Amino acid sequence: MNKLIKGAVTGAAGIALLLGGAGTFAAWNDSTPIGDQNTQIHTGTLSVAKDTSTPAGWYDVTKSATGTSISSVGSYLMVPGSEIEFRQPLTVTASGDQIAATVSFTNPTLQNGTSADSNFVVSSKLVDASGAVVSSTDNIPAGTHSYTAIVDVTFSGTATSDQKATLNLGQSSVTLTQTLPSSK
Amino acid sequence: MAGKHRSIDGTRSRRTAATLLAAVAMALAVVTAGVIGTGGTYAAWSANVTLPGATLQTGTAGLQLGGVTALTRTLASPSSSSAVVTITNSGTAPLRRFTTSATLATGSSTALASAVKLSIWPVANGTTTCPAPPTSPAPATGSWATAPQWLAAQGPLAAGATASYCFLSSISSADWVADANTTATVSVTATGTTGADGSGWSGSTTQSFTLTDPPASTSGAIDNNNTAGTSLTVTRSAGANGAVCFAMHVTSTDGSKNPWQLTIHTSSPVFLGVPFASWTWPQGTASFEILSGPDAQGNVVIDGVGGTTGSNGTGNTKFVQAGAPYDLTFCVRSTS
Repeated sequence: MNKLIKGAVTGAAGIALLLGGAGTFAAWNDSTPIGDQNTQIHTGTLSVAKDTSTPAGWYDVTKSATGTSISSVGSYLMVPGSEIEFRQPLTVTASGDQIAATVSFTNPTLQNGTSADSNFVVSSKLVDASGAVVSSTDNIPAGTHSYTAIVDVTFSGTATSDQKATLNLGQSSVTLTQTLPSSK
Repeated sequence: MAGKHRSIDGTRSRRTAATLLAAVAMALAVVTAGVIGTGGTYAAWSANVTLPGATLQTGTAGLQLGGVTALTRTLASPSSSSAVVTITNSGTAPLRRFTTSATLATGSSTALASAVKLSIWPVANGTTTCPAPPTSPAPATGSWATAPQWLAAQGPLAAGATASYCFLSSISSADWVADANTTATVSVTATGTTGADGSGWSGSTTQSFTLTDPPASTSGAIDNNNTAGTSLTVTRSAGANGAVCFAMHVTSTDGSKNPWQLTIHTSSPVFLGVPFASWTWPQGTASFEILSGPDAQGNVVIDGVGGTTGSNGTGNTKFVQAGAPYDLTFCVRSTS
């Protein structure tokens, strides 16, 4: 009996302490059901996937932004001033009230042997169907959207070395990150 | 004993509750601080897609000269000659700016290299015989000692592309004589860069050729076609730059005006280097002419010009004036 009392007292003290910030403790309470007891709550989605209906590929954009298709990047020989890019069509699906997301990239590494090569600049970007760049602060709204992820490799026009070089371009990634709605 | 035990249990329970409360409060504080610290929002969902890597390769810059060795010449005479020289982009990168230079090998005659004048102009690929040089745009000009930048106006040359140029070389008679028995080995270098401002990769190529101004021949014979009443003697000596010089002495032995003629035979074709300017005829203003030659057989016939018809001559007789001896000195040189 003493143990029960002690337990009850300890529990009460704990609750009292948890609620201590309020400074009050309700001794009486009552309840009533509200709303539809059969309500289901659904969540939305946020996904990004490669668009398999449009093939990815490499393009030579040295002379124009549109570029010309490179049939085999492994056989393509870069020279100072040349610029090539990999284009990967993506489908972004975002659903949910108040859904919004931003995009970020993990740039691939580009290594000549075992070290980076300062004659090359690698960058990534996401463009929408009109070609407009989606910045890192742009919120992608709800819906199904087509984007293209672009990994660009530029060989400096003033480079005096790197003839007959073989470079390894690592994997890169595109990440969509949900932005929580602004608080009240 | 039991009360004491209860007292110990009660103390432990209070301590446990206090510890739990502190931990919960601290966790709430940390989470709350984290949320507030990010500005009130934080990412809940994220989605990711991976893009593949690739193996990239770079090309090369290369430039090749063709036809320079065909500029090798033995200057048989002070005539001009031409040859077609090509440049080919042998790399995989387009070349956009070009420079050229010419250097002389050790022991080469700078005088000869300077004496050989150049005119260089672009021609269509496939040209084998150079046409006359254009007037506009004017060819690049210079000499092999101060070669012009003959590729300065060359536009971008794509990988594998070729451009052709005509090289016209010439040497004056005076220089040809003056520089006899000398050679000049010239190295021609052409460089192309991938950058239009000279930056980037560069491809360079060098080819050499040799110019030879041959020595004079010292062999041969002299015919004194003097007639009766005329004495004509010739002595031969070595002249400057390998030339052969002749000193002719003509006299009228009978006191009359007598024709004379001198024929020089050499073992190879001859050329009278600066003949009329350097001839010495101390007895007056009489002049001379090359009556025939030089021909392929090495014959040159000279005689006096004009004169007064004398008892032993008719018409435009080449004669030796009665009385005074005539002395004539001249130099010739062979072409090989």
